[in-house]
Amino acid sequence: MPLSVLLVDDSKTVRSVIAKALRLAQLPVHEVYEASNGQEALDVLEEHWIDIVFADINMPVMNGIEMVDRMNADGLMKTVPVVVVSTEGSQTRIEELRRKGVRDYVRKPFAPEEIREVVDKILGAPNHDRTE
Amino acid sequence: MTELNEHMIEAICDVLEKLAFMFGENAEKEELSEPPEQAFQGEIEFTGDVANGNFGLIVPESMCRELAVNMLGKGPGEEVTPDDSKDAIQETLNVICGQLLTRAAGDQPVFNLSVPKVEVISGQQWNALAQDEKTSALLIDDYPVLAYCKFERTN
Repeated sequence: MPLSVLLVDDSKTVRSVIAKALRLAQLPVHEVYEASNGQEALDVLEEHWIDIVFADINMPVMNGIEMVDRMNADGLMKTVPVVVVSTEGSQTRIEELRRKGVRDYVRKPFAPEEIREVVDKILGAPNHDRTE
Repeated sequence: MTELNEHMIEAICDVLEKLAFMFGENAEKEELSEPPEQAFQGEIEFTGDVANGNFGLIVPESMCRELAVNMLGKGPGEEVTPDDSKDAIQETLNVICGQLLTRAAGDQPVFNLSVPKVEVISGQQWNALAQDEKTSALLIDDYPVLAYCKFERTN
């Protein structure tokens, strides 16, 4: 199944790194949307079907935590899995994120395999064939 | 070398290898080549329950460009803008600082990281920083690099 992915980070470099990792992981990504903060991400989610969101925490305008809170308050958006991609190394804070409803966490720097594992775990490997 | 400096050098080399396929090693300051004409000095501050401090990285402008090219996945001959270089060094500082804090303080303490500040410095300013005992030297793919870290425990 082709995937629509939303990358949320205020750094263009990070969005490029994640997009590259998705390609190298050979996931069947059909569409990659980008947003530079939580508010822009909510706007994309209003307009497009998204299978999975990769988001940073610290962003201007609206941070990743507030974005998740706002998604949780919306009947449809709360079904979209959010994976945090961050430099955060504190297990205390990662547990807080999970309690908020964040589905998984990938720590920077990461390998493409880590992105693939997370997507497989959340969306289920049978639901998306890898491109060869 | 102090334990903190060892953590810093390890974090820098580990992150640059994974993030940008650039390989580094600790160096003596005498091993560094002539100062670059222009360099970027980046610094990020952190605050937390167990410690406050900062981490800084000073890299030649040409290395910053290569960093951006590698991170953005640009092809041969493709150019990057000065903003791309700045964004790449900011993100690199952010990731290295996160890794450094885990090495120095473990995986339980919570830290808040500032937005990394980056400024262009001259060869003269580079020389002054190279002579400062707070900085350590590295060679990253033969580029001369300076780094420093302050980690002040609060309890």
